Amino acid sequence: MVKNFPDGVRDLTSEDYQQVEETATTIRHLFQSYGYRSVQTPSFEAYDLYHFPGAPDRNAMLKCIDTSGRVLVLRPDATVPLARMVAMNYPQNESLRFSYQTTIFRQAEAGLGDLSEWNQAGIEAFGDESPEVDAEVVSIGVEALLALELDNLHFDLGHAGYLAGLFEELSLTEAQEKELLGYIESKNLPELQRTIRTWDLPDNGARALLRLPQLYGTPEDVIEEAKSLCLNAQMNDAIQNLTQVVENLKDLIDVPLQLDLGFTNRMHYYTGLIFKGYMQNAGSALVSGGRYNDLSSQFGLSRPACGFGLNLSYLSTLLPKAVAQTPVVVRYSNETRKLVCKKAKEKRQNGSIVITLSESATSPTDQEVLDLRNLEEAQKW
Amino acid sequence: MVKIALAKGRLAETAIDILQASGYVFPDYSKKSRKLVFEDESKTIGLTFVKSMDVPIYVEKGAADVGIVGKDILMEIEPDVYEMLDLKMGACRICVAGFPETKIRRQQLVIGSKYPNVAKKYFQKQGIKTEILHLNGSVELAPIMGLSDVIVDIVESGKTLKENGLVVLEEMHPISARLIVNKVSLKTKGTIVESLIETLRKETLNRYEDC
Repeated sequence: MVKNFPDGVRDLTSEDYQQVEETATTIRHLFQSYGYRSVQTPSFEAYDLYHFPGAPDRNAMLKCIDTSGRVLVLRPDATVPLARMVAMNYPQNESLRFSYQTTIFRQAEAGLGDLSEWNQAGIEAFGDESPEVDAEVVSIGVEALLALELDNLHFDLGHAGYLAGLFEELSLTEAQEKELLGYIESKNLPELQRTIRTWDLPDNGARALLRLPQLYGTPEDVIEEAKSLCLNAQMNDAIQNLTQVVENLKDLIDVPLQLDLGFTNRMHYYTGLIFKGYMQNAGSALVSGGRYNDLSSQFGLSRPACGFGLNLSYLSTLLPKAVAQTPVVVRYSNETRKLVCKKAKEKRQNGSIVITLSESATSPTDQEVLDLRNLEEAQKW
Repeated sequence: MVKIALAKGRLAETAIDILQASGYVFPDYSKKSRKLVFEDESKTIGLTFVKSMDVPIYVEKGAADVGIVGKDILMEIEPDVYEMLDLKMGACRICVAGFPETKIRRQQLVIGSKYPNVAKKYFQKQGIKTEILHLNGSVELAPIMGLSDVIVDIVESGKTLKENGLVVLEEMHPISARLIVNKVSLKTKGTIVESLIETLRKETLNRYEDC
């Protein structure tokens, strides 16, 4: 008996895995049709790669040690290694489009039923910071969910530059900013009010902060109010950029689109657009992405980028179970073996699934076996 | 349908009163009923009764869209949800309590609590190393029996403390019931969830005008 089975991992039986594979194939075709070529980064990277301001949470990373004592991490996110790979392998500042499909490892908290290992697919567009590229990336996220025949979808856009601009005006300590981020992220207006009251903030800054948790809704309403709260050029630019992305998107997609300026930069590398895709009655976001113009410079090459990821393992659980193609099972004798195997090969080339059994092989329990031990029967088959 | 998770008790009864007053009728509901799920006549809202400690996970995972739960539990579990309203009900404080002469600004403080995460974070912030004993009830016993130096617990009137010779040594945070919302549901079931929030916001203002 197996004991000590680790938490946060699971076996995919053939039905489960078929679902994951089919989902992945549909999505890969879509990415490729937009010119996003598939790439793969190594399963582990140096722990040091994630040592920069704003890197993903290092506590949750699964570490291992190689024979020389160097600490490695199992791929804890897809974007950082990809940005590293692109900076190292494509030094010319060209426009590049890449897609991936990979395993992400991150220690899940116990007792929440989350996985420590999951399949993720995504795209990253490098070298272009136009709102048109932002719109393209979001629209591919929408199309990915539509291609899987999911409905009741809803997409939300935010912008990291808006809050960053507001923080510029407030000269807060890092600890204070972190506290505010928590309240904004959880739309916790009561706690935000209580906290701001005890701090000495300029009136217009406090007013904008207090509106942030509620700055979500239709693009028109949100943009209008967000504009009236702008305190500097950075906030204005963010709203202008967001407006352009929305305008572009309206021509590309046809799903409900809203803005939420209360989205905070939880993956700290986002610099511009942040977006999420939801489906009714699915408890977590299905698509999550944004623009990260400064990440690449961590790896020695400044190059803007925008992308998203979707959790294939989670998505697969929302889809109807895959239907497996029924195989044909045949039993041959010494006399008919050559003929049956030749015919089986032809049938497989024509798309059938054929399992051939020798005379003494045990039959599969759940399938009928076609008896081709007789030469005449085999010839007719 | 919007599913609301809440714990049985006074909080739930007040919440149901408010919902009934704003036009949602739950024909099957009675305090004594053993049922755990109730729908209103128009099938707009479904109530689900779970243990209070479990409300956050039901909402975070989307098994329920909305939850009503005490701030103490949110501080302990720190779920990834929207915390949108202070319902002001069930007001109390989470406190450090112990014998009057106990000094709490010292290293190796031993704390008994139903809220190990809250206790640990609070003292960590102040650079105090603690040893936390996770207890499940009658926390006041811990200092009396010599199990811990102090306790971290919610205090309403302070009567239980007083009867056991204990006092509040430090108030940590005010506690009251909060309305939490699943991050997807707020967007994908916006109309019903928003109107529910608005109903509860107005009712809270009516009941606690001074706040």
